[in-house]
Amino acid sequence: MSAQFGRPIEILLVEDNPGDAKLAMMALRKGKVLNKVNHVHDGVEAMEYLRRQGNYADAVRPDVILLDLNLPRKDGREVLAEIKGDESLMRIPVVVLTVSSAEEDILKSYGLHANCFVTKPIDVNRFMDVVQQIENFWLTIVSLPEE
Amino acid sequence: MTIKNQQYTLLVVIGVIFSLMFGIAVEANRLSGEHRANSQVMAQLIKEVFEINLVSGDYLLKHHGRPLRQMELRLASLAKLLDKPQFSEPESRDIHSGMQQELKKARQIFEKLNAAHIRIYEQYHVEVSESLDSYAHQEIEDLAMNLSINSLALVNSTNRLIKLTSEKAANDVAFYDRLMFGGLLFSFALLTLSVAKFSRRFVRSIGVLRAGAEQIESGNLQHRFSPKGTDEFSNLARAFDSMTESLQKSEILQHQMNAELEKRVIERTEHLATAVESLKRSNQELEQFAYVASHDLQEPLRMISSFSQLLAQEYRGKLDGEADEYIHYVVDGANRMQSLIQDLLSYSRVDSRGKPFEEVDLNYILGAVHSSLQLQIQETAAVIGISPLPTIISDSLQMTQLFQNLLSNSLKFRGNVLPLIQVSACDEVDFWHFTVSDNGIGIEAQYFERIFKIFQRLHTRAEYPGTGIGLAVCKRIVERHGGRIWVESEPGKGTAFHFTISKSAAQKIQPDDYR
Repeated sequence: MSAQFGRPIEILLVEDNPGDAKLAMMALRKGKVLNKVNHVHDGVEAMEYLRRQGNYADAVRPDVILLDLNLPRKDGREVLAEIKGDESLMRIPVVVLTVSSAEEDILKSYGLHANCFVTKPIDVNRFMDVVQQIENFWLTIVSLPEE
Repeated sequence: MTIKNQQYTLLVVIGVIFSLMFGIAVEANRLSGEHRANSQVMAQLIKEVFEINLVSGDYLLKHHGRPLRQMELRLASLAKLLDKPQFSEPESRDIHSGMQQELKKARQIFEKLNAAHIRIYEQYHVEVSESLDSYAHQEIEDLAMNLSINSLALVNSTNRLIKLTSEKAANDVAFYDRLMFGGLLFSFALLTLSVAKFSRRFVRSIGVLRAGAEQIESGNLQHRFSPKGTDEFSNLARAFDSMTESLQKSEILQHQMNAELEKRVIERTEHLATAVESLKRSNQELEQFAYVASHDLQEPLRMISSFSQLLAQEYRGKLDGEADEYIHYVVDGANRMQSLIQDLLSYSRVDSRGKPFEEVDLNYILGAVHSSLQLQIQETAAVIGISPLPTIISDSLQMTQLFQNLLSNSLKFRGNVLPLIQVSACDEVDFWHFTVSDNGIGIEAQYFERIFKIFQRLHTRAEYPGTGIGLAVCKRIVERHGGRIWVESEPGKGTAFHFTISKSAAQKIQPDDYR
């Protein structure tokens, strides 16, 4: 695994809400795995980052993407569809992390080949825990393809 | 003139004709009687006249006194006979009176003869039994000859009279025969004509009526006979006309009513379509609201909640006690707000996000509910009895939600005794009737309606936690399944929740907006 080679794990956090972003980053900072969180605020920025366009020409390909669904400009569903429709990006695991527990969102996300769907817990400690578990699961337990 | 009157008139005419003919017959009979009587008299008359002629001849031969006596008797009887017959014919009457004149003359001659005869007897003193031949006298000869001639005239007259009378009788018979025959012929002709006229009128009138009836039958209610006459057929035609008139009126009325009804149906349909449209719009708005509630309202709340929790965790004791209390209220309020939004969302989703109905084994559902409530059941040591339950057509997720809400209510509102909960079902033909009963704290009758309203609570959160959504969701689920829910309870004794699930609503109510 990448982590074993000593380089920090690259995480792309797509989240428009600064509070949530801060909470997620706090959780990831306390995590077991050395990681680097790259935070973008909307779907357009996310796609620019992934395609190394504009300001993100030097962006590093993320090992995992934490994607919120409700985003300004281009929303999470569109971002998900574009990633999974792009030959070069489709193998990056995408964790949909959202406030919604609506069934249609869950169905739609899996329909667009999201790798997992997690509803943000209301309790702040539970939330921290969930984020750390995601990190743990996708970055230490699961085997991912090399680039 | 009516047919009835015409028939009466015909009968009267024929009656009159027959009466006339009867009168004629009577008259003919009377005449023939008169003829017969006259004929008899004539027969005697001619006999007497011949006798007189014979006797006068006899006297001429013998000049005897006896023929004179005979002649006297004959003349008397002839006079009597001649008085008898009556003649209506002037000619017969003339002959008759001529004969009376002749008889009178004969009697005068006889008187003279008789006187002459007696005179001669006395003159010559002849014996009465002796003949006068030898004393013949020119005077007697002449008188006797005259008498003989006179009697011949009488014979002649009688013969004429007989001939005339029989001719008259024959004429009368022929006349009355012709009269009778003519009468019969006239009656027959009258009858035949009348029958022909009536039957032609019948056939024609019935033909007209039938043609009209056929027109009316084929739907031409404009048709009218408009008869001008006053007879029975005209009256019948008028009755037909008035019937058609009523038919036409009622048909027009029916048309109007149909049109009115159709108009109302169209109006109602339009009204309904508008209502459905507005309902759809309101449902869409509700969905929009639900979506907003699930995403946009929750985000800021999560922030309040999350950071107030962090504040509480990381700064506890670092601020003063009052600050800690304030932070506690902020956290508690945010959490409650979050629960309310979640509940409102699940309440609104009963209809908008319901699943299609399918066969659901409620025994299986209750098993799942029992498992998910395992912790509370163990904590409260509750005894839950579940009777065998049916398989029903319903939304399985909502059935789970329904039973779970009711069972967890029973567990939550338990009394001080060991909780006993019973679930049972009853087949009521058109629907299923379910009961969930417990021996918990019970509910006062005044709250029986209120408990099914959203966010209505009977206790403080400190006593019993919860937002007050459970029974409202239960009611909405039951109503979606074409049933109703109600409660029976006595404070301190326990509560029984009853609800029905329609067997037929399952086919009718299918969420068409399911995605």
